[in-house]
Amino acid sequence: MTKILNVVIMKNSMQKNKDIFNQVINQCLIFGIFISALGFLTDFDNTIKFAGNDLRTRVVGARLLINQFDPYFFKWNEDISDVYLDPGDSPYSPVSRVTVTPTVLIIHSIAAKLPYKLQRVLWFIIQWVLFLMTLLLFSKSTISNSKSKLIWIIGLFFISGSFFWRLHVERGQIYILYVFLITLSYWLLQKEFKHSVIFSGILIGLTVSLYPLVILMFIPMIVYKKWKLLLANIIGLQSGLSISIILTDIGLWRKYISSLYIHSKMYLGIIDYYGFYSKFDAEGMKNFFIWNFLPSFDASLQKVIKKLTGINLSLNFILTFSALFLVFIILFLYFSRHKNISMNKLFLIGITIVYVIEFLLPMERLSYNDVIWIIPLSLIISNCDLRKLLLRPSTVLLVIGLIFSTSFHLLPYSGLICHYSILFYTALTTLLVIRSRFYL
Amino acid sequence: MKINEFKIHKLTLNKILIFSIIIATLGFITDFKNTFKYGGMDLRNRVIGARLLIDGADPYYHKWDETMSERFLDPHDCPLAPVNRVTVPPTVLTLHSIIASLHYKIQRIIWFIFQWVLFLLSLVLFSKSTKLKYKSKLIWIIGLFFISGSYYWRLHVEKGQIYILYVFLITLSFWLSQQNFKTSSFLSGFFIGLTASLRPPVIFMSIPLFIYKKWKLLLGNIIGLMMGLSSSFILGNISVWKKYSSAMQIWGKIHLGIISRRHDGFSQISAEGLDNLTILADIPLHDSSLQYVFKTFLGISLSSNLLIIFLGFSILFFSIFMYNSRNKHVSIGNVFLIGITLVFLCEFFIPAARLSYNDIIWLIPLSLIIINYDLIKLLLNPVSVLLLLSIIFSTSFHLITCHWLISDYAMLLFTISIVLLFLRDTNIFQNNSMIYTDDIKNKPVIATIITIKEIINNMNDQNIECSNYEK
Repeated sequence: MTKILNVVIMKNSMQKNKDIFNQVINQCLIFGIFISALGFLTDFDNTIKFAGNDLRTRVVGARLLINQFDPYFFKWNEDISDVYLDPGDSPYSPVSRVTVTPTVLIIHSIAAKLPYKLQRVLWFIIQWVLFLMTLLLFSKSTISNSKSKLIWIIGLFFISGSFFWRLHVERGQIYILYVFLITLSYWLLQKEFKHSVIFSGILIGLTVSLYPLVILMFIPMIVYKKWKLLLANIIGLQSGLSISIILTDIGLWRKYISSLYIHSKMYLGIIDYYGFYSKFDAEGMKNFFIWNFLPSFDASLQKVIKKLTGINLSLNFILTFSALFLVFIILFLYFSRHKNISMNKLFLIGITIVYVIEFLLPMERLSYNDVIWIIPLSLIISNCDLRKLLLRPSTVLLVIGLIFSTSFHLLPYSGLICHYSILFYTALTTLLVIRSRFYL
Repeated sequence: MKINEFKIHKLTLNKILIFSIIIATLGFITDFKNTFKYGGMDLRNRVIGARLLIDGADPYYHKWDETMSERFLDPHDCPLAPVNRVTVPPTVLTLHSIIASLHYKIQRIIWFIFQWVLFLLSLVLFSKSTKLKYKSKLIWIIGLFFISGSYYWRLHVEKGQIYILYVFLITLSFWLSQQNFKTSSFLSGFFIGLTASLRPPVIFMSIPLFIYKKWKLLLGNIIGLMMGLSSSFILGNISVWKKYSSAMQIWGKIHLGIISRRHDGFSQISAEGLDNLTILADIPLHDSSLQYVFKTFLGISLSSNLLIIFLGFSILFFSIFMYNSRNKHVSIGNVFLIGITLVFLCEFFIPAARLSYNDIIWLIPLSLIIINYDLIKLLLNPVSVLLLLSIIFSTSFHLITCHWLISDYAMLLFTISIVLLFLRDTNIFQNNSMIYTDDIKNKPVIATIITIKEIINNMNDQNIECSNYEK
């Protein structure tokens, strides 16, 4: 009798807890939508007010590509039309500011002939659509209603309300496209139709051709022998590369690689450059040098070490360290591998490797890169036992990271605290996942 | 499941407090750096005003020229404007004159330390005014996390503002009112009066003292006010007050745009060997006065007279409410809360800029609410959403459009609502009863957030799998 009574009481208590839990989630979601709407208005305002210096670089790069100029080493002068002018570029640096792959330039070339102002508005809309689509796909990837809402809350409240998303949209950045493609790939994998793995893999491969660092997602696939997915990846990558080579030529990729090498040297201060084309307007726009003073932090390990200790790491040292770290990751994965690993786990491991290595490269890792958070955080929410996970001490890192993404921008190192908290949280959680804990 | 104040105490207050201390420490470091990097434009004009007062010059209409000593140069002042930037009453200038002869750089550092000391002392006094440990901790959390971490406190310290002094004096007055020695009430009133002589809108705190017949406090108040006003005659005379009054009328017209104040500045921007006097930190600064908000968002230009009439009606409205509850037991804590709410309200009606650093006043109503009321009951009330909105937007989402407007007006509405609800039913937030989770259903966010820990613990006890829980 007592047992039955206890069960009844427990069920009753569970029901009450469930009601309150749902209520909290719903109200947070409403607040998330409110924040997101305000963020959207702010971004729209910024789009009109500011020129989007990073979008300009890609647009100019695409136009140069269409007209068979070299987008990576091009230098504008007054005899050339201002449609090719990137006012943020330095006339004295050996390379232009274009650092994206030829594949990205080909995508951009679809709209490159339009007036820049129109492209700016279009790109603003595309960024927001991709962002919302990403959240939609992740929320559809879980059968749990509350987890789905939690993904929306993280996205709308903490990411669309964050300083790095403001920066991403204002600068006209492209990272959200890579995030969306990886999300789409993950969503396809969940669909389990006949060729879902192939389509999913092709999309990852395509993303690699746009953002080469995503190639690191292949590592867990190789370690866990997911040959079908890997093959699809290679097909996707090959397609992306082929399109760019057919439409341009192989020499462009060589130029891309050599320009990246020069960019690394410029970043490390080995090559000096200074000045901008600041006195020139482009396409009737005078706002290229009106900066929106959004907080932006370079969180690359090289920069952080330099800032904190004054030590300037050499290019060779950084590359060697990154390579050794990668070997360590591969060995760790190899020796802790299980017979059966779910695709979800594979995705989380893959994206975490990409995320971690981003910090180790001898390149700027600016705040807008953090839009990548959506992927590991959504994967963790979708696939982990949150009750167990949230009770772990590492949750403190998550809380700190999320708080600092939206708050306390005037405090010293707030950006670094934000970037590294989430990095460590993701890395730690992925380690736990590799060791098969917390995964449903 | 029963939830009472004891349960709140069991929440992770200590952990939040540790996090708040980290935030406050980082904030202190930032403020320290800002003090050295920037000139403190608002401290500079008060220092110059005090120096002018000492030298028998007019602190409100003085215009510097190159024949004068650099000690009297405020590089932010506009040479063509009819008035200079001094907007504090002669009492404040008299107070400043104590250190005005020191080198400006030393005064800047002293004032930085002074601001932080006053801020922390205010928190100490409020936290000592409650016997409940969790309420005491909550006051520290509000202070360290939400106020010392906010952009307006950064702005207050960087500009070298003085509002924290008024906050401290009112806090001291409240703390004294809680003490049991013989002249505590009188002294408490004295400090309110003294504050009113420094910051005239504080005079509105006398209204509830009068209606609730707190005669000792009122007497202390009048004597404090008289003493404060008299002190200004040490260095000046009645004409300084007349000039102050006329300068404020001109400032009212400048705020409305009737008189333009071109920001030409002086050609000389360095003074006393300092070349950072015109460098300003990149901290959000907004004007939330009703006059500015109406003009900016609605295009309506509210005249000063109209605002004064509106303020009069608002005060009358509050007074009627107070009068109706005059025979009920109203604790001194509530009298202070009503008083400070009137001051807070008045700030928005004044035909002058109400800039972000004024928000430091929040510390008083928030602490008084924590001390006076049953927090669970308070948080269950729908108005707590306003509190949540306000404190979130004061520390977060600064890059989002109009965050300051939401933050400032949400706090104003929250404070007014709480006071009106209290005046309508003095038992509404009384510290006593138990509340059950059933009451929490369909109530605002904040109440349910409190229960999250409860839920997690419960889930843990029952060892229910998340997946089952979902089903």
